[in-house]
Amino acid sequence: MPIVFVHGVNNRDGDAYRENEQARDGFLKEIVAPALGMKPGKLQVLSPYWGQHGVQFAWGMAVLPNQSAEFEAFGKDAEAEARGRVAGLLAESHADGKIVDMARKDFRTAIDLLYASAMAGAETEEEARDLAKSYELAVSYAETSPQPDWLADAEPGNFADRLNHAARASDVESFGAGGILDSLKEGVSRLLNAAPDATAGVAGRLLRKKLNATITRFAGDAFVYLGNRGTSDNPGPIVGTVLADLRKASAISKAEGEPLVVIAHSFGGEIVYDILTYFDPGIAIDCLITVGSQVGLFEEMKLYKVSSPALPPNPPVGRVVRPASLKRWLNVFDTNDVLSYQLEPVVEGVSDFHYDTGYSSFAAHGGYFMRPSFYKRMAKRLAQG
Amino acid sequence: MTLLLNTAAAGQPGTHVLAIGVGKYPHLLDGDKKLAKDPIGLGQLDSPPVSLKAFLDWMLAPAGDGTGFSNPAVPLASVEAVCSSKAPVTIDTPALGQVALEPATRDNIQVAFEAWLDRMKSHADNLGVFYFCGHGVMVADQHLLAEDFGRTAQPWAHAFNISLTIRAVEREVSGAVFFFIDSCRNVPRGLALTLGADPQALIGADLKKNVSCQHVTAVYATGEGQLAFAPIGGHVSRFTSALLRAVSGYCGIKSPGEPTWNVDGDSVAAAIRTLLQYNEPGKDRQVSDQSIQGPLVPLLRIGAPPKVMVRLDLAPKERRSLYELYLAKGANRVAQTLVDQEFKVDLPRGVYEVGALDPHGALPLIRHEDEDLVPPIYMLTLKSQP
Repeated sequence: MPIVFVHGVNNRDGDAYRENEQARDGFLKEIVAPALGMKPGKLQVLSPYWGQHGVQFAWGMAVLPNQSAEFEAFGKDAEAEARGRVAGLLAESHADGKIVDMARKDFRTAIDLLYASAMAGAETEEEARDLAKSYELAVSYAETSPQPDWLADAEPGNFADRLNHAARASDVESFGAGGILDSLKEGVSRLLNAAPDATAGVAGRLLRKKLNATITRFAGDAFVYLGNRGTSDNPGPIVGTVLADLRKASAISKAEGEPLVVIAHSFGGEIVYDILTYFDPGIAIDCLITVGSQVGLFEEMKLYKVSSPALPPNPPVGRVVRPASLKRWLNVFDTNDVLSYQLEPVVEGVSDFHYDTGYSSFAAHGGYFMRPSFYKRMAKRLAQG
Repeated sequence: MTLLLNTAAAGQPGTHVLAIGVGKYPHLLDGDKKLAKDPIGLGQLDSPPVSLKAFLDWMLAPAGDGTGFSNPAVPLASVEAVCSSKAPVTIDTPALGQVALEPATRDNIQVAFEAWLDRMKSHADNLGVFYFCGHGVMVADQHLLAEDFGRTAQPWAHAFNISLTIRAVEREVSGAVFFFIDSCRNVPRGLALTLGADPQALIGADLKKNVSCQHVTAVYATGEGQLAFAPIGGHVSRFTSALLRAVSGYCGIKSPGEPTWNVDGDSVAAAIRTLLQYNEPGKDRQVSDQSIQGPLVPLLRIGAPPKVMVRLDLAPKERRSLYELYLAKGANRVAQTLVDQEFKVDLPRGVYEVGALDPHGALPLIRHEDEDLVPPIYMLTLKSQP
């Protein structure tokens, strides 16, 4: 079964969840795929990358008031970048790195934070998939043991050991510990080490600088898309990139007799909507999940190719119709995410769902795919049919 | 520190065994003492005491009946063992009756090792066997964990470096030594990044001395960076099962001009690898590793040719019950007729004709001449073409 992931604006090779593509794919395969009744290894994830066709700044954003450093770096190596992401995660979610204290208050949330931290450093899809499988076990364990006795005397140095030991299910006894524990312990270590960075404001400075640059590029990418999207006979480069993978996935879907699921983050939702209503309305999609998206807002502004002030004739009571080739549409938004919008008021046949990323303001916009619990919720919704 | 057998004869070479099993780790996960600051994900094990007992029972079985240790040139002279387990482990011994084993703490292992080494040094042609089953890790070297691992803030003081121990033993003894190390060899990143986490060897390797031993075989339960496994519920581990199977008549090479078959480091290591591969299809694959140095010295000298575990099957499975599966060597022929299951039989090594025939003559004959059945196992699935 194919899943197409369409990213939003402000994504360039090297950005946070672009770097985490393998981690995202791992969680899609291990958590979402089984919920759809398919084997993880059979799921094909296509992620069309269109960032290279987005906005280019001739002066390198020289107009920004604080353009001296567009992004503050925690270091050049992969672990430093992972630690930087975790520092951002802590600062954005107002959590500290005291994982054991958090676990004593809210075991499930601590597990989510720990796996998000571990996932931030996942270097291969295999590691991400192992983490996803381990996360499933940990969550099941937390459901049956919301406050296990061992938490009373747990320490940061053995929290991951004890969680992993208590939660794992194995049909063999091994004379050593497996590799997943190393990933979890590194997750704990990142939380501990990143906490001072988060509280000392390093992550805050990172966020402020990102925020300014991000809003600028968000608007820029949207303008470039709207200006260059082309026509159905001659699609622009962004549409062409996404359309190619959608058609490829559609062909796989037909050949295998499996459903086609599309996940569109942020502005990716607008691109997919434009494609399904204008560029290629014939692509049959079984389920579209828009996450932190602005599809409804852009329809309110009548910015799509097929948008018409006369459709529907009677807003706000009336709504535009869902694309005919789309069987099911879930729209996920976070009230903390200032760039995510509801869709039900504008498009009929859509289900809006609220997800709390735990992040504040603008930071929530990119937070969905860092949280393992998001995949779990998504899988549950998809499984409900 | 528990001597189960001591029949060493002065001036005569003999085989000296040291066996260590550690299943109880009070300072690791699910232990009954204060948890180690960093338990590196390790907990209690059910298999090592059971595996150790199986190994010792095999060593102490009467020689010559094919079920235990047999080497008339270097007969069993001493067996010493320590074991940590939730329940006391007792061993049936020929001379002392039932003997309970003392725990495998780091101190007890040290004392037992030094006594074993002294016995090994008592004759230039002695043969040594060192067996360990329990938790292990590695970075540059492999480290084995004693019962009291994690008891203090310096947890690695209660482990030992088996890699350096082997190098030291090579310089301390003259005879041959066989190490069988049934433990994991994965590399915990936390350990690799901890300065000072350097367990000591059981004896220092004096590099001023040349390597003096005739031969050293070290067979490890798994490859570098890999895990070793046991069935859940207190069963003999995969590695020890393969080891005991291999030395129970499923490997060996004919000694030229003598009525004996020798089991040396090469043949036992190869047999263990093959048996592990056969036993473990699927996810938790475990393939042993080995290091063999010096001229080959027999660990065992047995009076019967080694057997081959034959596993003969036929595809497609729907046709199995229509065929007779057979193996023939000269006048000797074994067969399974019209039975819908894999044909399992033990045969002496040799060249056989292997095939399948339809007693009613309707289906085509399948025949492979000159199949070389080599211990420990021969597996073939015959193909019946439509």
